[in-house]
Amino acid sequence: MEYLISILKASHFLVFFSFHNPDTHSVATYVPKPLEPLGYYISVEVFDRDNIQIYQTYRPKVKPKLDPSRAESYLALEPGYTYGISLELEGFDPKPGVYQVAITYSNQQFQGFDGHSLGEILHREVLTLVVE
Amino acid sequence: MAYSTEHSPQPSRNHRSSDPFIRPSASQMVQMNPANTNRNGMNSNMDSGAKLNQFGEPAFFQPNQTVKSKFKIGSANDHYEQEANNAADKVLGNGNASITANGAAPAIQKAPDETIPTGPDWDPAKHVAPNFVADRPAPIRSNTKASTTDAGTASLPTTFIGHAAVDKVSSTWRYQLDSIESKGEIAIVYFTKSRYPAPEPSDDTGELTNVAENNWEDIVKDLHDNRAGIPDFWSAYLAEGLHEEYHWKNEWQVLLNQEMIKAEAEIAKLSLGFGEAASTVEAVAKLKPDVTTIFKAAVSQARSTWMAMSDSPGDPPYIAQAPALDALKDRVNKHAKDKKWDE
Repeated sequence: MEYLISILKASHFLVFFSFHNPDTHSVATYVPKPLEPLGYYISVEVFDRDNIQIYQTYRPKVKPKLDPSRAESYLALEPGYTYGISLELEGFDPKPGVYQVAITYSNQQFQGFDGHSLGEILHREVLTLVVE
Repeated sequence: MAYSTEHSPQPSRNHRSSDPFIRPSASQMVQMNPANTNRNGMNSNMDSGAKLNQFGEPAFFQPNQTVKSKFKIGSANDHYEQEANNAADKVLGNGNASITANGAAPAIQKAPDETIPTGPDWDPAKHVAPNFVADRPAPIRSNTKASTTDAGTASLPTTFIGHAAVDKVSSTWRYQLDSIESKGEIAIVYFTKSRYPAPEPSDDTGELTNVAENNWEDIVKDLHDNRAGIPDFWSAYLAEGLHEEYHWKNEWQVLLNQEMIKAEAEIAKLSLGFGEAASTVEAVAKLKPDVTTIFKAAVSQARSTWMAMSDSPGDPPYIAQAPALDALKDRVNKHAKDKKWDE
């Protein structure tokens, strides 16, 4: 499994996150369908040039519509395909400067279904953002 | 008074005789030897004459092991301490420092700490219950998005208002909380209408137009099996609200209340000498940073505990939703019976 993560725009801060099953793989892989709300599966922290955290998302209490134990709560991602989401960081509009943006994905309770265990997935990437 | 004792220029109301470097007050010395004391608190030896020690003081100031062994310390602010304080007040002219030993300009001044500043009285018994304010945006529909409840974050803050207050007992400034407000958000996401036996209105009271002879048993089973869980397909509108309100009222509000009680106790311990702040504004400026630190830690603790609370099918928030599903199941059962589908 690979992850494609990028910052789409800094004004009305828009983050893009997706799973990617490389076309070098020969089989489909299962990924959890739910990717929101922001802060639950995907969390974002922003640090300024002094490494001081200036923004963070918070994890809300969530009542999922999909049952983590059922196969229909997962998507079979064929080789070469991606599955993702763009998320806006409400209220965050960074001033010109250099920032480190840490984006973390956790599959939480969506750890697979009968015959397809995913286990705990935790992936974190830090991107450098320059706002001019 | 014919004798002199060493009155401190700044007599302390908290003068405790247990301090080996502080001389007992005159009244306490009288207490030392009750046999020599009449009911007016006057030492009979003094009345009768002048037994002076090597320092020219009354004889009871002389080192005397026998007397020391009989020394008793009364409770704080007891009769003897009050008497000593009254005597001190007389000497000091009740704080006006108008009486001096040599008739010169007043030499005795009260320290800044002794001056009671202007400000509201501190009420140590006052308890502030947080006010909880939840934003409930209009529900949306989705078969994948989750209903959510959140609070205690930067965008949904818990805040306080307070003021500096005068604690006359300890002669210090204290911080008195006036109000606490906790903001929250409860965002309800319903399934699409096809997932509800009574699709309209969104309170399960409408006609059971999605219930038919060929699906009513599946509906009843789903509502029953997942009354405290995630539905296979069928659900009840009211279940979403019951679940989320449980998070908000039974979890967050309870936890925050608990932490705020602790925080109030910690804040009540903060004090500032009158000499360190001349006004309420100045006192607030000096006390508030510590108050804020305590307050933020309490909110953070409440939120950490909240996030650690289990929230899986079968847990209390899911059990809280069950009555809505039970009621709808009963409705569907009755509907099927009325239609004679169960025969």
